[in-house]
Amino acid sequence: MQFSSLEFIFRFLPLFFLCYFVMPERGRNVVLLLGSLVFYAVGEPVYIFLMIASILFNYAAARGIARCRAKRFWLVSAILVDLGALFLFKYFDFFAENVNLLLHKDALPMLQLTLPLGISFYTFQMISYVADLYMGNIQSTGSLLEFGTYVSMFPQLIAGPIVQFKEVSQQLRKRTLRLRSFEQGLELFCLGLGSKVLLANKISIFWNQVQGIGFASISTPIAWMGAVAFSFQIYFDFWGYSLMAMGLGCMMGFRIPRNFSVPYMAHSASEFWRRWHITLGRFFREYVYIPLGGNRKGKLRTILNLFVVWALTGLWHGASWNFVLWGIGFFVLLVLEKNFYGAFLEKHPAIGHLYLWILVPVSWMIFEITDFSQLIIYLKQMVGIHADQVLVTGAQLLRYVKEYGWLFAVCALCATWLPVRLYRKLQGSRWLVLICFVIFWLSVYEIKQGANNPFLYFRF
Amino acid sequence: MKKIKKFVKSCPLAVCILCSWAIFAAAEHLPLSAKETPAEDADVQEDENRMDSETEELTAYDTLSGVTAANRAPDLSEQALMAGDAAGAEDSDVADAGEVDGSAAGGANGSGAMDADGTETEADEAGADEKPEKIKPEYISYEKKKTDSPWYTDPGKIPLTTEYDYQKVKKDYFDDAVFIGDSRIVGMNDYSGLTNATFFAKTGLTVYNLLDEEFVKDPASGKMVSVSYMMQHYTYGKIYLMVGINELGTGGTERFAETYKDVLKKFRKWQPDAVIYVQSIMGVSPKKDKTDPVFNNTNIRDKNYAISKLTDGIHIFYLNIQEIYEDKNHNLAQDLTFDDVHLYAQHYDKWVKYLKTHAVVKGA
Repeated sequence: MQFSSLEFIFRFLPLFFLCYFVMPERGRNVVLLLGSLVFYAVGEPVYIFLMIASILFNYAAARGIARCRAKRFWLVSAILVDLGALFLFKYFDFFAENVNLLLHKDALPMLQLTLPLGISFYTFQMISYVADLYMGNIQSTGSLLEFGTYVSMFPQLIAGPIVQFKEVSQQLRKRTLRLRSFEQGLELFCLGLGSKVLLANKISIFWNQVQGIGFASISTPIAWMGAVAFSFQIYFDFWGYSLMAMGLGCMMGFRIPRNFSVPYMAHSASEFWRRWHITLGRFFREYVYIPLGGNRKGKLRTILNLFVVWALTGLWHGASWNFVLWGIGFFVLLVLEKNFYGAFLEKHPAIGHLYLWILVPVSWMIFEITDFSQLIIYLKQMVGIHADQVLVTGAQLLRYVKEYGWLFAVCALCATWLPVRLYRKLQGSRWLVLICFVIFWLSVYEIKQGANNPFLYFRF
Repeated sequence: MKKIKKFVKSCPLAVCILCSWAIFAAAEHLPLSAKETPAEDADVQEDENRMDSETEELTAYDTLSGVTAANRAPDLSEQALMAGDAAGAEDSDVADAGEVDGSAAGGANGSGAMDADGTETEADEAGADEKPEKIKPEYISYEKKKTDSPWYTDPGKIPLTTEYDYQKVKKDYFDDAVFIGDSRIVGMNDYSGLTNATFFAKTGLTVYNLLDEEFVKDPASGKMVSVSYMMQHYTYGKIYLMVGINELGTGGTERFAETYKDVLKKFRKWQPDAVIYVQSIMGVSPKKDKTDPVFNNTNIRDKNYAISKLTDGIHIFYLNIQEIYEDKNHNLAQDLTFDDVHLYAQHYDKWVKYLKTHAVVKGA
């Protein structure tokens, strides 16, 4: 069940909030937990038991750590089990394929398991919880109900943000309902819905069109338009999703951390990653980079640590070499920026913007095109090396510009600081209510109109 | 009460959404709209419902979008202005070829005298002195599978291109050709390089709306007109037709074939000298074939079988376009398509090549 589906908006959500508010404060975690399990079961009727088992096991390990007995053992076993499950479901076939390729025989079988919904996200949340307990960042485990609610909480269950337990532990124990925050959450939800439905879904049509034409036949301008369209698509899709998650959390009295902070207005790749999928970057920084020694063990070690972090970041996004390449690409950029031209970009924001705006679409193509030969064709088209005859004519380009030009313009505007500033300015005013209201019904109309609604970050 | 007041005051957005939702929901359940008008024909009503349920899938095909009206002026030779209106056209038609006996003037389909092969009957009547022999398409037969669908049954047959002494032609053959069809023909217009032909192509075009939908730009007036208008006001030497994928879930094969026959009959009437090519509805990829209860190749074969029977090998020819692109199971080869329905741009030239080697040249 996606947030941007009619059954979620008009069936699940009203019913859930009715139960939630009718329940006295003490029972609300139970309602949230059960509601989340129902929400998850609709999309994942089988692997819901995997998630429940994971929750129970991690809680047991957490209790073990909290009781100060064999702390290390519990930490290691929890992480091994969590990553083991993730490996089995997400990476095993990829691993087997490469091993077989290397050995030139079918040494390992392909399991072809389907990826349990949201496993990449909830695995990381559980690891962060156990690790924080071990490192003493959180003092108590909380009750099983609290932990279960934390992991399975439906706003962030299937596509993040990756919330840390310490951010919500207090709210899990006690949160008072404020009408003001309910209203604010609803506003955020509407805005997120609009971002997903009115921007991401719309511009995704163009990228689909480019894929339909076939990369071999596109011209250089179309290749760039396609890459930019995809950059907008993935941003408004994911940002919209994160906003909806924040909004839903807010409606219930949770403060879910923000995941995006106008990433496309950054001046460098390093800044971009401080603004893009913030909770993922934070996870890797706190639980991989710093434990590995961070930048305190010399220059060479720092570079090695960065390499590990970025290879893993790439791999987290999907079990395929192109994601690894994508991650390593960012590693190279970050190292270069850190050691050579980072300061220069800071000083010259215009050049910084330009630099990022050229890099980002290219990087997203590496991310999106999983087939290497296709990827190379696409990158070649972007720089104007056409191996095959270009079949997209100037007349068609003009048609596309006419048809999609305004959408590109709206997306570009919404990728700047403008919507954030406008939101802050209008907060509490009737104008914001009106805008959200219009966006909400426009989105619902759009959802009803078409089924073109693929959630990019759904299966991770 | 106080609580509600407080809620209204502090949550205006929630209140607005809830109220408007209630209004919409109420409006939907009240018999206000045209919903209640009784359908003339239960069958049609049912079809429409099916169409509703399929709109989602239909939109999936709208990727190659944009109306591609032909804006090149077709050959405006001495024949360009046939008869002024439809009735006039009919008269001149009958007088001219003498092929269509009185019953054709009735226009509508199923006019008693003609049975399943109306067009064939017309052909029979043609040229009393030298009667060309009609040629029916041959078929590949395979074992029928059981189907459970209101839209199709498995015909167990794949029609092949009409056997004929086709000529090899050059691009100029298409100077007076018109291509009529759905998104696949839109793609052909966009990527085949066949710039000299005329295209009446539109994403989502069906045999049901093909004649009357006004999506073609009339080069003379610049107005948007229908295909039937163009057919009555201009002359074409060849008509290439490909429709059928969009209506796979609208009406059964019978109604589809009836309508298709009607369209062909009208084309024959309006363009008696044109060679009409009925192009097979191109199949979908195995991936789609396996998973889609409507848009699958059995359904497409059923439709193709039905329309192949409408061809006569004299004026109307069947072209099995599918054979250019099929894999060994007669599906659209998976690696030729991104969305399982449309070809990559680079593969349209094979289609043109096929047409160039399958050309009917009268008097050759």
